[in-house]
Amino acid sequence: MYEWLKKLILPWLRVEDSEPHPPAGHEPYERLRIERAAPGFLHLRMFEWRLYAAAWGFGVAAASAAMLSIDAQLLWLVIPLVLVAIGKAAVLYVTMRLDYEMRWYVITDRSLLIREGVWNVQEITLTFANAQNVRVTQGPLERWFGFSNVEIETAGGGSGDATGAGHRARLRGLENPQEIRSLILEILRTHRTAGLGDPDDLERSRAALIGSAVSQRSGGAMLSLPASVLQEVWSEARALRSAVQNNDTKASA
Amino acid sequence: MIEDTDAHLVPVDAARVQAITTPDPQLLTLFIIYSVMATVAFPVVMLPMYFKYKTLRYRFDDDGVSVSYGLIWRRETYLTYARIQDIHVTRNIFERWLGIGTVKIQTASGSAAATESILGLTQYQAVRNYLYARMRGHRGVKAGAELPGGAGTQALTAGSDAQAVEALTGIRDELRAVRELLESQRAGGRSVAALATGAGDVGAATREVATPTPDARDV
Repeated sequence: MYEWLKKLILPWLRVEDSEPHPPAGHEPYERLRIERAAPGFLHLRMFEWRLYAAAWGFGVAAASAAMLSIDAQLLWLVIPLVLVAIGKAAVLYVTMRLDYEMRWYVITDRSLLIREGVWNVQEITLTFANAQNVRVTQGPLERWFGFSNVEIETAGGGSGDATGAGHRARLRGLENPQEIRSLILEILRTHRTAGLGDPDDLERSRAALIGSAVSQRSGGAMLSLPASVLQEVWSEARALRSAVQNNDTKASA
Repeated sequence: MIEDTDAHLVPVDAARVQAITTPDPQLLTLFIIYSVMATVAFPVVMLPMYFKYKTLRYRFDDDGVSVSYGLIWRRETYLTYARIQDIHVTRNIFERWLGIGTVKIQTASGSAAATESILGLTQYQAVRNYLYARMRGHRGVKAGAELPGGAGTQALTAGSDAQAVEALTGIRDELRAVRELLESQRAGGRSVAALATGAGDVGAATREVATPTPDARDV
């Protein structure tokens, strides 16, 4: 039934089922994690749909009964009303399921890409260098259906709406929010700047890079060239000192 | 034309994006749809939208994007790529039918609304990728070879490594020469003259190091 409806409605929606992909111009990435909404998210949407369908169905049934009680001739008006109500509920059902199916989040070591929406398809791209904070939220219904949302905010004011506009990217319907949160925080830790476009970002990141390169070297299994040469210099210096000392003692003797 | 050095592996056609100066004609259709939806307010809604469509100009240059429109009250917004916080690509159902999309750019501004919207783009994906490739932080901190500002850090550390090795090797050679000098001097009599001839044998570089060493001079 759903597949049939989907086939019927999808061409009209003109929404392409795109596969999760990291932003172009980006590879190679060290990390690539693709997340989709949890089944609990679909269950919540279906719950919402049932509420909506029940309310709408009750309203339509009451209106139809009232109209028919006034005049049986009004049947020609009642039938299209019922059909429209059924059609609307069906479209809503399909779009709600599509919203679940076509929603994905891509987390790379540098950026986040969110795709969501059916009526209004939206793709949000942001780099973690600009992220300010990470938040995990959960409403009572969301708790019941066993999922949470992870929100990433970038700098700037204004209250964002539910679609994620306004300095806020929302990963809705995650079953493992803590895992995603710590993953993002770990990525954020590698970006040592405030994400406010500091002019000395470049210098600092460079310094950090060199520092990490040095620490990698000394800690790594491979003893690279500078260290071995340094050791040679050290031993040479020691030998030199002892040689000079020997000379000294012999000269004074 | 302009080679895009920022976008690696997946090439972003910078020339194609920078060639965009006006919205797609389908944007006018979109504006008409919006106006029709306003029913009685159609002329009121349509007129400013029509002028916006007519005067809308985009200019993508090397540092930022400029969006300007307006017939009587003109405005031009210039956004630097490096200040972009996040990019939203939105396509509502009308835009999808018309085959266009909107790229909304957010900077760290005080409002929740997009700082600037680039309306009526047929190449919304290309524009998104183009902007993304120029955003702060898209290259990551770890990818050393791709830091902005000329030489990559990979090259930078490699260069300083080579220099360090060169310097250290030099120091080692100098020290070795000093030791050899001292040892040969010890072997061939302990006179100051022997030191001088020994230094002459080893070379000028050795003397430079040997002279300031107090112990060597005391001999």
